[in-house]
Amino acid sequence: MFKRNKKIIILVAVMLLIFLHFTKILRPIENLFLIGLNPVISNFYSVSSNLKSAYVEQNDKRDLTKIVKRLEEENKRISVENAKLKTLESENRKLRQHLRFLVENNYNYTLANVVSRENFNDEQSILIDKGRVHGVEEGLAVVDSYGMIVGKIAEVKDRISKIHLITSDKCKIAASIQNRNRTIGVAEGELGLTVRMKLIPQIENIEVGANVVSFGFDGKIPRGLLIGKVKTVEKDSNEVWQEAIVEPLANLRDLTIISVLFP
Amino acid sequence: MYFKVFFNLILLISLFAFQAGFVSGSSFIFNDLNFLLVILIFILVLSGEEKAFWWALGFGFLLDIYYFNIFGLNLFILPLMVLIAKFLLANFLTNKSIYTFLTLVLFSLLFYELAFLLFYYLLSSVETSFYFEFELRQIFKIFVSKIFVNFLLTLLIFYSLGFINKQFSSVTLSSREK
Repeated sequence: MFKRNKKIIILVAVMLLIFLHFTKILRPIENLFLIGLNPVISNFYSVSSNLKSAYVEQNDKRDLTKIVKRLEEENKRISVENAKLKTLESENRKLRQHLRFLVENNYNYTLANVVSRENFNDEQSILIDKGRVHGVEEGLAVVDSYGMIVGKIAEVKDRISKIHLITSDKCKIAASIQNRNRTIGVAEGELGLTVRMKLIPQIENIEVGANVVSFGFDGKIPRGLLIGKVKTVEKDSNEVWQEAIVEPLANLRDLTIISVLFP
Repeated sequence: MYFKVFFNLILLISLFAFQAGFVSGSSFIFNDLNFLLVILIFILVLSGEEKAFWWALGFGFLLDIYYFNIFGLNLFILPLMVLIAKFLLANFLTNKSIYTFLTLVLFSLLFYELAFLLFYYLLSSVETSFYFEFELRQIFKIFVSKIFVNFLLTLLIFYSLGFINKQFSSVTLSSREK
């Protein structure tokens, strides 16, 4: 029979751990666990992700899959290039007008492995193995290997960080549509599936298929990062704002390596 | 004794790494598997409450330092869950049949998920800067997806143990030997 005093010992141990955590005394031990766990968990995650990709591929017809994949890769590459060029074009025009400001194309970044996904409360969140000690802070942009934005840093610990994916309703990014007026709005995730761009003035003309890029309003997220393409426009003359459904172009299911961009 | 403790520690950490890495990266409903909870129930029934409490403490600590929940939440909820499961086992479910395991897994899952939801709901009511929204599809996910897939896991572990060791061979309530 489990003695009562042992239950008290367990309770005291729990209270002590909580106390030591909040007084930061336990932090070195926590970091030690994270340093040891991250590579192992990362490897498990990679295996699982590869199995998932292999399973998905098996279900498709091989020839069609190859063609579609090749075309998708090329389309993504061209979309990213196109978005960068348009942003550069706009910025060059302003340079000529103001005679100052350098266009920076090389970003400061750090690569990180995706080590886990959070499942609680159906969040669209992933965890990476970089944290405060690596210079990561909240609000930074996270991109995939094509330079397309996949999310924002939400919370940071010493050696691990949580990212809200762009399809999460907790991820809000100032965005602009690459149309004639450079329409500005807020891109917000919806239902873990898509992105909705809100606060678009009614007078703006939005074309389906237009690129949506980051606006760089807060200084932490660089301008011109491709978010997706406009899929549908919801315009109701009784409303103050119109909204656009944006299809994210980044593949959010098979993320294993990402880059965190520093301002 | 120290070897036993070390062995348990390695097993605990390995299981946690598997859950956090492999299971979370899986697709479809497989990422709803909760190895930690199911294993805790098996330890409680087969090895006793003392071991189950220490394992619950270990899992709780690792979950709290790794994930971004409020520290201490798993440390409290998991041992409490073991306590409730122990109460059910001692007073209502007195044998080691598959139905016992399934019932305990069901109660544990419900308790664990709902405890979290309740805590965050209460926190969002008190702390205005903390936003929490409860959606009906979460109920669907808990009741259908998570319970179903963890029942399958319980069945798999139960019958595997029965195959390996005759002591744990499956017992059904309906079979009676004359």
